[in-house]
Amino acid sequence: MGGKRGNDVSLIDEQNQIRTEEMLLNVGPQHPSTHGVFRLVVKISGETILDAEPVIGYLHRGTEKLAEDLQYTQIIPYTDRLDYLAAMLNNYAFCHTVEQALELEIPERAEYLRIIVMELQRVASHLLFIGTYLLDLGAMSPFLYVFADREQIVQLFNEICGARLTYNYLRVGGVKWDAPPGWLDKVEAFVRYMQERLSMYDELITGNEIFLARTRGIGVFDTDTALAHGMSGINLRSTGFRWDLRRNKPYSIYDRFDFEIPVGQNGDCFDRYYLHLLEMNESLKIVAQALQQVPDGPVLGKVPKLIRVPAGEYYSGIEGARGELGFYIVSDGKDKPYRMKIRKPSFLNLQLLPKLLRGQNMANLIAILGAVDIVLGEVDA
Amino acid sequence: MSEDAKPTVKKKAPPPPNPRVEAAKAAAEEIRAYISALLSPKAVEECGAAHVHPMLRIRREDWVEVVSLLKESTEYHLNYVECMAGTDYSDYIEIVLYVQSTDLGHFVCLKTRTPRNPAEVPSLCGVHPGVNWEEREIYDLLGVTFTGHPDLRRIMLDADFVGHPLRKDYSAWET
Repeated sequence: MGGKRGNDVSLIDEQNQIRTEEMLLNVGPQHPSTHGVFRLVVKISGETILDAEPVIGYLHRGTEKLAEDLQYTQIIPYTDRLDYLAAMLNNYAFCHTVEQALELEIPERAEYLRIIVMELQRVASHLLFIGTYLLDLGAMSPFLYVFADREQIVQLFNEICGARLTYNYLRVGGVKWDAPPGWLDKVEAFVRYMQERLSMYDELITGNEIFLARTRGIGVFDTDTALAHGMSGINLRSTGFRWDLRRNKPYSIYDRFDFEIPVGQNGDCFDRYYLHLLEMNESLKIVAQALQQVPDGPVLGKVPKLIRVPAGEYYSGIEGARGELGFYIVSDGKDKPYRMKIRKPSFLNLQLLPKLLRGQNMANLIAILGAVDIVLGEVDA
Repeated sequence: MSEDAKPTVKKKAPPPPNPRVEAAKAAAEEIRAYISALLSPKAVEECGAAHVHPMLRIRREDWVEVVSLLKESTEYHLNYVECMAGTDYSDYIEIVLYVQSTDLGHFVCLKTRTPRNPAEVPSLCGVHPGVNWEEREIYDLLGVTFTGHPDLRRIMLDADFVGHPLRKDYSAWET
C-alpha cells in the first residue's frame, strides 16, 4: 500500500503498522468534556496515549486563604463555590466541623431538613454526572432528560432558600429557614416521580451496547491503588470496597435510616456510572424515610451571634457527592479560623488519571476522565 | 453592709474532662509506646489529643519511618490518608496528617514540625503515593520543601509566582 504512493517516505513501517510519531496534544483548558477549566497535556503516538499531565489551578481562588479573614458564618457562602454542583453538601461539611468543635446540639427538625436537602443534592449531582457523562460519550438526549429532572430539585431548593445553585442554606447549629408550607409534600411527590425515572434511565442506558462498549473494562484500577492514592466516594467503591462515611463513621442522623451502600465489582468506568444510578436510589430511600419522621420544632439551635471556636484543631469529613469532603480547622479562639484546609475529594481522585490514561486509546480519554467525576471548582478551590 | 452579705467570687469549677478526649490521649500513649518499642523512644516528641482524636508529634527525622511503620503494622494498619495539611505558626511550620485504618477503625493525627526557613520535611510519597499532590500543594502555598518528592512543582499557582500565600507574613500587595 505504502509503496504505491511512489515517494520515499512510507506510511507503513516494518511491522506493517501505520507509521506514527510522538506528539504533544493540549486538551483544554477550555474543552467541553473537562467540565470546567482543566488542562491535560497528552503525549500521543498515533491514537495511543503515552503519557498525560494534568494541569490544574485555573480556577484557584484561594478559598483557604480567604477564610482566614472571614468569620465562621461568612465562610459558608464560599463553600458553595467549591463543588458548585453539590453546594448543600459543602455547606454541611463546613458547618459540621464547626459544630463538632463547639459540641453543639442540633434541633431534630433541622437535622431532618439537612438530611433531605443533602440527599436531594446528591441526587441532583449524580443526575448531572449521568447526563454529562453520556454527553461526553456522544449521547445527546440523556443530558436533556436529566436536566429536566434536576431542574425540579433546583426549584425545590429555590423555594426553601431562594437560590438555585449557591444555596448558603445551612448554618452552624441548623438551617437558615424552615421549609415553606407544602414543601415537604412536594419533595414526597418528587421522590416518587424520581424513582420511576431512575428505573427508566436504568432501562435506557445501562444495557445500551454502545455505552457498554465504551465503558466496560475501561479505566480499571483496584482497591489497593485507590486506597493508596487517597481516593474516596464512588471511585473507591467501584473497586468493590465498601467505604461510605455515612455508614463507616456515622455523622448527623444517618444511623436512623435504612439504606444500602452499593459497590462495584470491576473498578471500571461502567461500575462508576452504575453506582451513581444505584446511589441515587438509596438517597431517595433516605429522603422518603426522613419525610416520614421529620418532627416539628425549631430549625436553628442556640448559637451565639458571633461564633468563637475554642482554640484547638478539628477535622471532620462527610460523604460528599464525590467522596470524602472534609474540613480541617485550626482555631486560636478567635471568631475567624487561624487556618482552614479543605480535603477535596475531586482533587485527590484526579491524581490517578495519568496512570489510567497511559497506554489507552485517545478516544478513551474522555470516557476515563468523565467517570472520575471531577468538579473543577473543588479541584482548584 | 455586713461582711457575709458581700458577694463571694466563686471560682469557676474547671469543666469535667471530656471522656472522648481522655480516651484519645490514652490511645496516643499506647501508640507512643508502640513506636518507642519498635523505633526509638525519641521519635515521638509529644503526644496528646487533637480534639477527640489521638495526636502524636513525630520528630522530623523519623517522619517517614513512623508513618511507614504505622501503615505496615498489624496492630494499627493506618493505610488511608484522610487529610494532609500544613499550618504556619509564627515560629515553625507544622505538617498534619490524619490517617485512618480502613479495617481496624483507628483514626490518628500525626504531626511534624519544621523551622520556617528553610522549611523542609521528608516526603511521604514513597509510603502513601496519594500525598503527591497534597505535598505539591503545601509546597506551593506554604513553601515547605518535601525532600525526596518525585515531582515537586507548584500546582495551583503559576510557575513564576513569587511567595507562598498561606504563610502568615505573606502580603498580597507589593511592598
